[in-house]
Amino acid sequence: MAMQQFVAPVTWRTRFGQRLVREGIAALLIACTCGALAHAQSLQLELETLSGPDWSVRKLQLALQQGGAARLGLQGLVAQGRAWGDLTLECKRFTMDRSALNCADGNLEGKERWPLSFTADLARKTLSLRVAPEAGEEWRLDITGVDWRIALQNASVARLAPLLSGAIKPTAGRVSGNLHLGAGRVDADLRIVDAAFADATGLRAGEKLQGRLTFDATSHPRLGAAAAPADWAWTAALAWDKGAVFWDPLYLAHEGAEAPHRLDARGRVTAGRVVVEQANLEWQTLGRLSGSLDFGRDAFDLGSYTVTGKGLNLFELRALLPQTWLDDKRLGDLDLKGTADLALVGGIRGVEQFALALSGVRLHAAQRHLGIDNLAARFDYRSSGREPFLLSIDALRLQDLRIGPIRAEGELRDGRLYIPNLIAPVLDGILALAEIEVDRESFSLQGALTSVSMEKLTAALGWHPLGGQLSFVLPHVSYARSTMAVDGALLFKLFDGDAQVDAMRLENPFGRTPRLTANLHLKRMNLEAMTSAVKFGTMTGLVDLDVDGLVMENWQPVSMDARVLTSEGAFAKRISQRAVQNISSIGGAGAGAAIQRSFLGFFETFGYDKIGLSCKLRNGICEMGGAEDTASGFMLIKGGGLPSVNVVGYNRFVGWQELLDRIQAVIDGNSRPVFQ
Amino acid sequence: MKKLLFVLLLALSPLAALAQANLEINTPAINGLKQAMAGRHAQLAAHYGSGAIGIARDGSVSLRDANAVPLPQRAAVNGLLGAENADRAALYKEIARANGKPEWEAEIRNTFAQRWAEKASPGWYVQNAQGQWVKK
Repeated sequence: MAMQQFVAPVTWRTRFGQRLVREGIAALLIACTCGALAHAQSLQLELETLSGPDWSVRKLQLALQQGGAARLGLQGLVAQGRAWGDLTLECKRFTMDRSALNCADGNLEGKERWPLSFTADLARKTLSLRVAPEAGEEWRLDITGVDWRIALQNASVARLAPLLSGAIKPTAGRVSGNLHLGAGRVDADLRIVDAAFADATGLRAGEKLQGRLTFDATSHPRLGAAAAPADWAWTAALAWDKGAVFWDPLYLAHEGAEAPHRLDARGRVTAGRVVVEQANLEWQTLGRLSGSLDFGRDAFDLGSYTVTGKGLNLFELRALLPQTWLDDKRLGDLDLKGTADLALVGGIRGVEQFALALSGVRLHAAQRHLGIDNLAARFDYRSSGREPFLLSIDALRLQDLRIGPIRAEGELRDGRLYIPNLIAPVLDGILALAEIEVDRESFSLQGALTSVSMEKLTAALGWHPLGGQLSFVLPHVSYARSTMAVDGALLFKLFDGDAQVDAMRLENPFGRTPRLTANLHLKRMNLEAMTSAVKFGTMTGLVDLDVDGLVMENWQPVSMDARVLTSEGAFAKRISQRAVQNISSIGGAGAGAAIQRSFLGFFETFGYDKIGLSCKLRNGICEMGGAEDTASGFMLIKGGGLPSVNVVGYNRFVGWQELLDRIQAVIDGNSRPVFQ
Repeated sequence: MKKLLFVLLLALSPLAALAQANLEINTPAINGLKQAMAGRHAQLAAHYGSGAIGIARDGSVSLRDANAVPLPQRAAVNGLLGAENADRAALYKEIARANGKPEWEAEIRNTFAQRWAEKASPGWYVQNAQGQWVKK
């Protein structure tokens, strides 16, 4: 029977005032094409506007030629909130009959032009689509009923970016493998090469990633809940061969030289939540971590989680340190060794348990002259309850100062660490700390240091050598809300004298602008011990140092009333020529004016009645004073006995920095000579 | 009378108060912050030039486009920005405190924001009042 033929090509111009559902349009097209074209040689269809619940087309043009070419044009396609611009599907060889459509040598053209072909069997509900955007790249989709199979060969994942709604988009990479979505089953085996991803800020990004992902999920209808969505049980495995990921603030790189890092996980999806029942991470250089977690499928809200690890190599934890620390030249050589076992349990209320056992830890920053030798610790933090705490360190090192060995036992009580006693040998003395309490934001302690040789201490720290002994008593010291405070007076012994620091507060001690306020009183310090240590010239006698209202910013004084004055009482008072000369230099120009040069040249030492120097520091200017005021100045040394010497200063106001320079010059031995 | 009222209003305005502030005041804390910032500037300059970072309108430095920084360096640049912005925030606070007027901190920050923008080199990105990045 001869094929029925339309008299002329049909053109339908329709403006839809209301939305049509997709199925309705599809039925219309199929009715037009299959019903009509099967008996016609050509068909043209043109619709001005077409829309569905979440899509619209400004103009649709369809032109079919039986046994020839076919063209479907869509202008202004908007789907799922995105504008797709104009799309054109052309088939150079197009055939159709009542049950099948065939497109050979076709092209899909939008921003790019993709060669494609497809075959659809409407009766058997099958579709076979092959898209080859470029040579060597193929996307193949085979649909049979509800069974979808996708085969990829060098598929560029960047093409998927416009389809994805998340903040992170793939920007490069090729994927080969298979993805299967069937009734009650989803599985995938994909190989990824040179992949990259990034978010708009670049703070979460990966580059040159290579690996393999396998995934398998099957659905299980819930018992007794026929109408409810089925649960899914799934397993996944990811092997990371090489590449780098920056996930602010972490940077993780796999150079590819060692075996792949592996993540294996299994779990289920149920009632809107994704449950990871068991996940194992094999990180080649770190060790093995295991864990579990669950989160909401839509909001990604985290529920409960656990992480455990045994024998983790601490060197890899350098990646967790702030990068600026590692970039700091003085910490760049940080050597970290040792192992850790950890267990973390948390929930919607935060961390419930964090157990950590460290062993054989050695930390050395050679350029910073800091180190920890053989640290072992065990603690088990729980949001409630009591657990023991153990700490042992062979030595803490600062320059050549070695503190240790240290042994401490305590307990974690309701999330707070208590250590009743901690003993640490320091050179020839003992540092004893007691009543140590630490939590996340505060700590407090008290303690004492028994007598330590200042000569040994300054030598170990590489400081200018000082004589005498140092010992101190720490009253209650606490830190909270960025402020460290000493309740009561800090007492210590220095140069055989008694020192007391009170009203001491240190704001922002670990921040950029530490600010110290305190009063300092040192009574009856032995001048001989002090001056012999700094090669100041010999002085015998005792002095008091009082500093009231001391304010230091960035560890430099900005305000204080300071005074050094000979102590009350009877004791030998002698001062050498060199010491007189140096005090004169500190007093500034003209300070030696009262010295009787010709007479003094014969004597090595002199007697004195008082030595005094004061500085009232305000706004970088020191208002100076001495042991006594004179009519025109202030007396730095008031002579007494035979022979005696007076040194008078005349310049009342001196810049703080200039005063420091004078003192430094004296210490360096560069002071100008007073005597000839 | 009107003139007197005008003078009074002007004297009470924050602008007049700020005009009295010594922005060049030096204290050990301020000197320490300035030295730290000066030492960091050479490291930041290359990233200003690439457009990775820009001078924000609030007196801070912002990451505009981390993608302009090679991946291995991104954490370091982020760390530099964190340190720089912490120093800047501390600087505004310390200058206000050194002037004896902690309540001027916000105005001092705004003034510095304008200074940073004016001193920016050609090619650097500066955030305008509308929050848009403009290449200088």
